[in-house]
Amino acid sequence: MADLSGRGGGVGSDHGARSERGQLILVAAVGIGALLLTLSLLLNAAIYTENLAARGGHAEHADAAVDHRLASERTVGNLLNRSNAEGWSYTAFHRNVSTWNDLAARGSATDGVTTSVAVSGTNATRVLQTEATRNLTNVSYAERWTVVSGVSAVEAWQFDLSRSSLVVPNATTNASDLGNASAFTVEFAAGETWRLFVYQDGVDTVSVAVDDGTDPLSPACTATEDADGTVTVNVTAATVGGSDCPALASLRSYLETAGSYDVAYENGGNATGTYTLWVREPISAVDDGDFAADGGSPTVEPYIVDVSIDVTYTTRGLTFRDEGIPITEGSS
Amino acid sequence: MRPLRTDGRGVTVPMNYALMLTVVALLTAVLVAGMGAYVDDQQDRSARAGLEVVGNRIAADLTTADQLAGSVSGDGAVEVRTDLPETVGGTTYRVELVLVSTGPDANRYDVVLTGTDPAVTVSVPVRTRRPVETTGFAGGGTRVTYDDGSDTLEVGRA
Repeated sequence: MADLSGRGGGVGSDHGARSERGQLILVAAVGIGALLLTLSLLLNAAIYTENLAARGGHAEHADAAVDHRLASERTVGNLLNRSNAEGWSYTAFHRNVSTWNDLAARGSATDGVTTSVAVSGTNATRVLQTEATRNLTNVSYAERWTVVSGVSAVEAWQFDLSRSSLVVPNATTNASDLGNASAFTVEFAAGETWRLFVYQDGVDTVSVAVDDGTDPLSPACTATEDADGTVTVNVTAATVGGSDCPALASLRSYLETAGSYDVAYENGGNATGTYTLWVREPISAVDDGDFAADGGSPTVEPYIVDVSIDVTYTTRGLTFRDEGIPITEGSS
Repeated sequence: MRPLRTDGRGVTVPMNYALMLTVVALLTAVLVAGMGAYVDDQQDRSARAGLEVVGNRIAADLTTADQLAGSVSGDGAVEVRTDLPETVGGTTYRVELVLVSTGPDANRYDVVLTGTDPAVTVSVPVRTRRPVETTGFAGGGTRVTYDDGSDTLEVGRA
């Protein structure tokens, strides 16, 4: 064997034996060193894995993602409420949602989080008259005028009419009797023409009759006036004075399958009161000169419906996306 | 009589050499064997502890994704990604999900992690509202995704 000590000495001498022994001790030391190194590596790996356990997981961000979704839902709901109540323009509503999106994104960016809120909805129009003492003519006091045209649905349609403003017809058997009496009429022009008549039918009662083109008219729905002398006619809910009205229900059923139709008021001077309705048409398609500017009656306002939002919340290790969250007016 | 330390009679040079080798080899073998066993034991414990940590992280990710999936009301997507080591305690490992029981409110699974060398198996229980699909995967970064069409979670390699 080679002499690693390099100090010489014969094989048989003490010097020589010690140097030969040194080789084995060196090999043993290297082996033990390798074991210790392995042990330290293992310890290092164990410390690293234990460190994983100490790291925060994604639970915190998951809570924040849900919070972001709820906050977005609530904020857009509030904006929708205000927009529809105050008649904001479509652009103003979308701009406000965009501002909320920017604020939320900026607040989250410092935590390494990307957020976004995108809104979509239908630009609709609300038609309303809030002046209870005004008759149901257009802004120029025309007795016959088209309220909306080419619509497939009229939603949330309600009249609050003064009983005393309505005509008292001599006969109510046929549509022509009510037409001759100039009773307030709502005309629906689709493939066929249906009419809705509102008139006085007694000392303090109001009747609603529906003409489907056949005589005699089906039985009218009658309601007693409220304490303030008005009767509520809800066309959408098919009720008169809060009670179900079969004639209005059949009109509603017809309109649901009628496709596109026009709605006109006739003898608008023979009814006084308020009304509100909305249609899925932009204000530019509805406002054709029959309506007053802000504050007047009747008027049209932007109205936003079918609103939904898409929310995303993204971190390095977590992606949360929820699309088509419905936002309904008054839900927040 | 000569002292033993200086008495070289009857002892040949090869014999002296062989004895010396034997003694040193014996000492080294005992030392290495003792240390080796200790190292093996530490590796086993280290792997087991590490796999438990990894298993708990995967279980936590499943729970997080499940919770987020419950918040999806429309069309949605959930993805939870975690960087995990490919070796734990010096061993590679495989992750499987074993269905323990199903119920109307919760599905119980065991996240089973199996190390190759040392052959260590660790099981971590997890409970989710949605069923979880996986084909098993080699350990490392994981990804849990949510399929809103089938209302299921899926776990696999990132």
